Amino acid sequence: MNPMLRTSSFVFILALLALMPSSDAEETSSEDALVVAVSSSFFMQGNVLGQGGAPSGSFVYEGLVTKNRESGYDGWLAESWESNEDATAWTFHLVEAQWHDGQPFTSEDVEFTYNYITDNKMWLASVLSMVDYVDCPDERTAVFHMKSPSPAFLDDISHCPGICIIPKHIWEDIDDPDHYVDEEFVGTGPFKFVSVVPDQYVKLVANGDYYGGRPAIGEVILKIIPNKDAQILAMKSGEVDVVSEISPAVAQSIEGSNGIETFVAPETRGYELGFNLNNYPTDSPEFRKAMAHAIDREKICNIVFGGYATPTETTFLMPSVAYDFVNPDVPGDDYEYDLEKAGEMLDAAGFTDLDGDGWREGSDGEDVVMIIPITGMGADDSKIAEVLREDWKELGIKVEMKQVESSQKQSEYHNSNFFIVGMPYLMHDDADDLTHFEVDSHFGNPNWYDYDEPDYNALAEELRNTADQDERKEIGYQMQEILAEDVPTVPICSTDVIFAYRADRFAGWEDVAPLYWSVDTKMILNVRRA
Amino acid sequence: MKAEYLMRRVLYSLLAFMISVSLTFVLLHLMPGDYLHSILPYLAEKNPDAARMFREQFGLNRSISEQYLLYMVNIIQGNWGYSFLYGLPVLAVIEEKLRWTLVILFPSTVLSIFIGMAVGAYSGWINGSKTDLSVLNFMIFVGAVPSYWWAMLLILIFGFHMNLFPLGGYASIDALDVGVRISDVLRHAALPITALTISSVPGTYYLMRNSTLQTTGEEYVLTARSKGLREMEILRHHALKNAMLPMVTVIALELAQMIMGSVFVETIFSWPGLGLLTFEALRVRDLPLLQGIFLMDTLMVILANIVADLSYPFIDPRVKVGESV
Repeated sequence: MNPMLRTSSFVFILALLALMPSSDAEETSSEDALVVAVSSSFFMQGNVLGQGGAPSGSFVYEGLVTKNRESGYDGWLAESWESNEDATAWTFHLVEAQWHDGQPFTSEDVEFTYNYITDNKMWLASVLSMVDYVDCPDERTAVFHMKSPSPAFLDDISHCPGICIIPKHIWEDIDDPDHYVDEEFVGTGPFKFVSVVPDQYVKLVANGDYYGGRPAIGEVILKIIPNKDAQILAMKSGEVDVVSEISPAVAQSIEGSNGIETFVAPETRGYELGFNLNNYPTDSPEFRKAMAHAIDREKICNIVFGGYATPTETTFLMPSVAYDFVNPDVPGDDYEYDLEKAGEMLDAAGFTDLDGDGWREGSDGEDVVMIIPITGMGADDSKIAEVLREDWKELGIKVEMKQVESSQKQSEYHNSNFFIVGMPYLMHDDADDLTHFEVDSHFGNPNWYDYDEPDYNALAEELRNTADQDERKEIGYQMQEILAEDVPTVPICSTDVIFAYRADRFAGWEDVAPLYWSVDTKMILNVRRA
Repeated sequence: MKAEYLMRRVLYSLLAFMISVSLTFVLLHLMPGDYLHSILPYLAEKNPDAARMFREQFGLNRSISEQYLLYMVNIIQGNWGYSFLYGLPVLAVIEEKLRWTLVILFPSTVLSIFIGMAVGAYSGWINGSKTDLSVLNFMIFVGAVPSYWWAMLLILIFGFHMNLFPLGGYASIDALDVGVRISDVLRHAALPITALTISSVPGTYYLMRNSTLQTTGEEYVLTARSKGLREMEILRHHALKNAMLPMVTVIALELAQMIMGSVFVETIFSWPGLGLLTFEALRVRDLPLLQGIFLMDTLMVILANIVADLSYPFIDPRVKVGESV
């Protein structure tokens, strides 16, 4: 062996050993800063427009309004807003704020943001497609003029992906937003961007001039740890102060150790079982009604979600977030769990076990097989499907799981019998969300259920053109009645998101629920030192 | 003669590279799913307008053959495209990550080669003895345990319980204020390097042991023994040099392949290297970036092969590159 190489490797090992003792002091998180564990540095790549807006996850940028859990909207950069009678013009009265570089924030920035996104044909423009033009009567007022009545405009700009306002004085010089790499991140939010260690840390400090008052926390550090287990370990060793979206099993094992406590943001996702109405046997309404009685919600909440879930039986809209948009008379006891009743209804619908092998046959004489697309064992939908498979075995219905690639899943809904999906509560909180079941509701593409009911479609169209809240509510009630009758979907449960945090360092976490499932601006503004 | 061989070699490599580029392109475009569906599934489903605009924005609405031609022309011109995710040129993204991968990969490969060769040669030389068998079985055990298990074990023992090393990442939190320091990076790199070394030592060990075994019966070894040389001297000066020959190609290829192979270790240690980048790019269907990574890997393998071939004559003067026998 080459003696030089041997020596150098020896030196290298020595160097490693020499580095060992110098360790202890530095690894604890900085005394004043709140350290948040985040899963990716996605939000720091390129610029804010490339990432599909930043309504809540960004502590630096802000939109005009943000959704709250009380079925309404909170002002953000807009302190108040109104629409004209037919919702063809939305007027936003803006707060008096400053950009992080000291320039004043004005209505021109709002107008510029709209023009910039649409002129550059960014895909984000699809969110603003119903806007005709924006004008600014004065510095504090911006008016969005619509091409057609748009009562749901606030909903569109406030979530998924949401539109955040960008500073005109910086962006007007940027011609190629797709390839623009932002290094300043100038926004209006409660925290200012300070520095970044690529793929490791992002440092933000409180914005002393924030129009909503200076945040109680002086410094926030985002620590990027892609692996969830590694995030938990980092919290146990004191490197991070809060971790979001942890599993029930982990929550139970860490609660109380090392000063760690957990809390839940209740009912953030609504799970439903959707049927495809084009495929046999789910094309039969009697079959679907029978199966609606064969879902053991209690069992699913306990086994799949470890108790961190609540059974839901209202049609698509969730009472905890949609409030009086939910028709109180629907669905009655139509979704009650009762296998015996389900069996009787299946018998009546012509699905009976003729050859005595324990499986029901349909009109074609073949065993009834229900096919569900799943993306992998261990995902929530596959776990729910496992529970259903056991139950339905008793009922004489076979369940087959079809493994599909995740981005293909939604198109697979059209080739199977049923599917299970958990959408954010934001998609279950307004009558407008019921247009999800309208034919071709997906901009000309069939909905997941291949549901096409003329009366329902007409109501959806009417809803879209109605600005009055009470009228909208009434239309929504009628839509829910039709849904309960046709059963394209059966609600299962709403699930909680579990957070874990260092109670010895910061307090106030549990008072504010996040918009999605990670720590967001509203939460952080409420947190104080313990 | 040698120049001509080199020319031919480069030409063939270029051909292999172009074929590989085409295959990668076709395979990646056959792959279901796209970027927008991956990052914002609900948006893409609720609003296909966004999907259409996205395709137009990035030229994905052109025909596949048109995209292919454009891509080939661009590759040759050295333009590997822009990543969807980062908005940066693909090469710049890869270069940044490759640097971090090499920080842990290079030392661990060097270490594992030396340890593997030293132990392997000794083990093969004294083959059949109790020591040889126990080392062999130990190596089989080490090799059978997946690399991520070693990584987790190291973190738990040395990082979490003994608090000697950091749990992951490449810098301490004070890097935000004082910048990234080399000593800090090395301290963060120690455990990943150890994990990677442990998991790749057995491979080198098996090969070296086998290779040495074959030389023990050779006549020159017998000659050396009859001259009265000490065993270790025969091993070092005669057997080892001959046993090393087949190792060169293997090591070269191993170097090229390990770049992709460290994805588990990188994930567990939150080490932002090429493995983690590949995983992320695959997850969000960042096609230009994926293509770039695969091309980079192809280039590495091709280069490693050429280097290995050319280095033979230096190790064994009997080998003459490019001369027909």
